[in-house]
Amino acid sequence: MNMDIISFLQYSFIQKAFFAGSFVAVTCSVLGLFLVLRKMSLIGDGLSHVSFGAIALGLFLGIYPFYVAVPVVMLASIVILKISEKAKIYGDSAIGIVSAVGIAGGVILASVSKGFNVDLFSYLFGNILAISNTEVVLSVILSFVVLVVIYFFYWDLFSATFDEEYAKTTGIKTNFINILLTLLTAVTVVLSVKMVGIMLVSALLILPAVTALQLAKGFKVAMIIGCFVSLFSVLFGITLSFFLDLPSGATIVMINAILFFLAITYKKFVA
Amino acid sequence: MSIVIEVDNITVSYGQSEAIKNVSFEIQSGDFVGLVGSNGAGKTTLIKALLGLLPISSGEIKIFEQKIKQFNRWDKIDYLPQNIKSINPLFPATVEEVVFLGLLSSKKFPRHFSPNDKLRVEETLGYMRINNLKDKAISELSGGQQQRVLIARALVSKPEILILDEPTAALDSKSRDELMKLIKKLNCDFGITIILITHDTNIVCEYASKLMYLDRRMVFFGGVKEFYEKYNHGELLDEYGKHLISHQLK
Repeated sequence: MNMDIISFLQYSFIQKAFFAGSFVAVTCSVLGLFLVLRKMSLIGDGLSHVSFGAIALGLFLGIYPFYVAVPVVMLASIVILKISEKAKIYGDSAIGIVSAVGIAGGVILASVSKGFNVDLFSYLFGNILAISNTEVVLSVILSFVVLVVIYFFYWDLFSATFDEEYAKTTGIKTNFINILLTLLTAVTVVLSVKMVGIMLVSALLILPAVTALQLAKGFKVAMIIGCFVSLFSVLFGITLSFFLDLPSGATIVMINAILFFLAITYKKFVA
Repeated sequence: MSIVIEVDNITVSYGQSEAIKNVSFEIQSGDFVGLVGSNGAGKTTLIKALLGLLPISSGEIKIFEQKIKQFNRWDKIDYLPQNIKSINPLFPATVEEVVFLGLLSSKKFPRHFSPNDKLRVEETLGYMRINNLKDKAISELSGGQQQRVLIARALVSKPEILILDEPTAALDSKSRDELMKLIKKLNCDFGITIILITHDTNIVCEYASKLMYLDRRMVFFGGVKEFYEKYNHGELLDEYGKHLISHQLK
């Protein structure tokens, strides 16, 4: 078994998966904490559906899907905000509308082209073990950008999440913070699609955050716990999926879910 | 005494409906103003306009002699919101983290805190006698303790004006008295101008130096004594005004 693990770690596709996966895991957990506390968890789900349409568009146009998905999903995130603002409907309805349009667009493009169905549907459940060099580089760069932006706006995001009205009285532009948060979510969703797939992206944003919230007293502590939970799930999930021949995305999500239930149990019976 | 807030004939509307109309007043440094009025009288609307949270339809607000649109020293004014229930029980913020938020108004981007800021937070926690709660999650505290934390958040920036929206509404009588003594102390010892929305006429009579009675328009603004002298002699008031008078007579 020892030998197996050593040779396992020497595979370049495993190294790439660990490297890119770690960056995306940390980004998802940090961003997810803000989304969960702002009751915006479902925006990840909606935007992942949009990424289905965007990836289909990329495949249809013969452009690398990642390059199309990032701007299209960012645009969709702004559309969600604007629809709920201008049409005076609740945010969840706006997410529902945009996500349905994304899926419908993807299905139509797949039906019209008939040539890339297999490629498109591979994005539904993701496979980090098949991540390309370009995707590794993009994942690391974009994750780094998202984390740097969060670092610079940490207290603005904290304040607007804790008490939006009070944040306004201290001069924080809360509308800008809302836009920033949805744009960061859009980028993170696209990054996560390769790892866990369109269907499971929201789990990567929600589960580490809600697990951390069961255990932490303090926002920074919650962030650190969330990062560890997310990292452990991704690294252990990749390892387990390799040795047990399971789909990597689903394994990562199941480990996340198990950690969440362990945290609830710990809180109820021990803490 | 200098004028810290000058409101000239302002109207604030929500769509077609006017929440407050043609309201004017001046508040001087060191005033303790009790802002009263029935539900829907426009009290919260008025203070939101003073804090720049709501746009005014007409008129002008000046804070420290600067028009509100140009005013940027928000560290000089702090605010205690109406409802501590707005605190998300899931939010894992510690007391210390919450008090740090009060310093954001004095920070420019990127907003980060220095060791001096940490000292200031610790001093404020000490002044509010809650330093033992520093590392506790705010959601785990009692209503009275949460209120103290939010006052600490408001005080940490050393504001010159403190606006409080029904701070005693969710408190038992003991916590209420403690809180009001503290607010009075801030007013007397540090000269902080206080604007306090309340439905509690005891508080107005006991602690405020001025009374602002709002009913979408300004019904009365002046000394508390003047109000009772003026309206004791049978001048017409609405039900809420009569309630204020009858309370004082008791």
